Amino acid sequence: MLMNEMLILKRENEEQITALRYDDVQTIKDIMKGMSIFKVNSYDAQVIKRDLIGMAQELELRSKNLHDAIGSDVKGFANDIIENSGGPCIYEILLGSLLYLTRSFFIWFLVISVGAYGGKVVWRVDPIIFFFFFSFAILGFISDGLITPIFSMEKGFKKICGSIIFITLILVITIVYFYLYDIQNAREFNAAHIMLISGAAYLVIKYLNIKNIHKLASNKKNFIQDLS
Amino acid sequence: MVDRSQLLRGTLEGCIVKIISNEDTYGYEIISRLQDYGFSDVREGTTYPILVRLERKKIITSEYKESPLGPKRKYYFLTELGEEFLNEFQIVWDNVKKSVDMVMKGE
Repeated sequence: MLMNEMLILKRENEEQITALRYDDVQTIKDIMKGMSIFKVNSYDAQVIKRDLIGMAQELELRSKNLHDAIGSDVKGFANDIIENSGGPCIYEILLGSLLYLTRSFFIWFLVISVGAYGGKVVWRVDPIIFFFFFSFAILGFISDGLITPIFSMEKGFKKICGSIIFITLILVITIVYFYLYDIQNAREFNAAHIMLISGAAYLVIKYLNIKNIHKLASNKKNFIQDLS
Repeated sequence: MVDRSQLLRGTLEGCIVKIISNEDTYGYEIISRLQDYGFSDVREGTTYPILVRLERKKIITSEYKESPLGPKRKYYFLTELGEEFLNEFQIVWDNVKKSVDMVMKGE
């Protein structure tokens, strides 16, 4: 059940891509960086990746590479594919953001409990910390899925603009957090409860996500069967 | 001066569907056929987004098949909807061609 169609295809792609030439691997990676779940649903993205791998394999037989076939406008090619594909799945974006959020909460509270409080799970902090973690997780998700792909196919300074925007926003949130944090408002709470709730929520959302991928794949040709 | 790619945009879609209607075929073969017919500047970068669109519109469908040269190839087939599309394209193209010819000849 945990091995959904997307993961099977992803594993197949990872196996196939290792046999390609370095420049083709880089071109495919550049194209795929632009295909976040905000643009193309994750099952379609893996099908596109499989097609690009097949294209590179076919070209290699004729001593050509993907750059010969696509030309210098890799970004334009990627945008053309995105425009013509099935587009994103809003439900997948929602589940993706919740997965990111619950996973982040679980890991942060575990790390802080062990690292900063020496294994103690009962802390006294200002509840503003929850808003800080929440903003941090949502920002991370938006950065991975929306900001980074915009600049992924750029060259030089433009390529790192995504990281610069992300770091700037993190700094702003951190400054706001330190400005609002007030020890007078500190309350006692149990980090184990947060870890338990976020861990359980993560598993439920993960299950819903797998079901959604089955649904996305069921409307399309079963490429997994063809590849086996 | 004339933007050939702009002019080809819609036309190529019909040509690709026609080639697939003749026989089940794969990406590289479609490009070879188009080049044989005179579309010399057509490459994978041009045809692949069109194939993605045609598949999304369910005009064509695809399947991976064994290849004598190595890795499995993605073969494209025409669907029932594709046959309807091709008939419609043929009618629209004939009309457009006739009108453009008349304009160019000053009839």
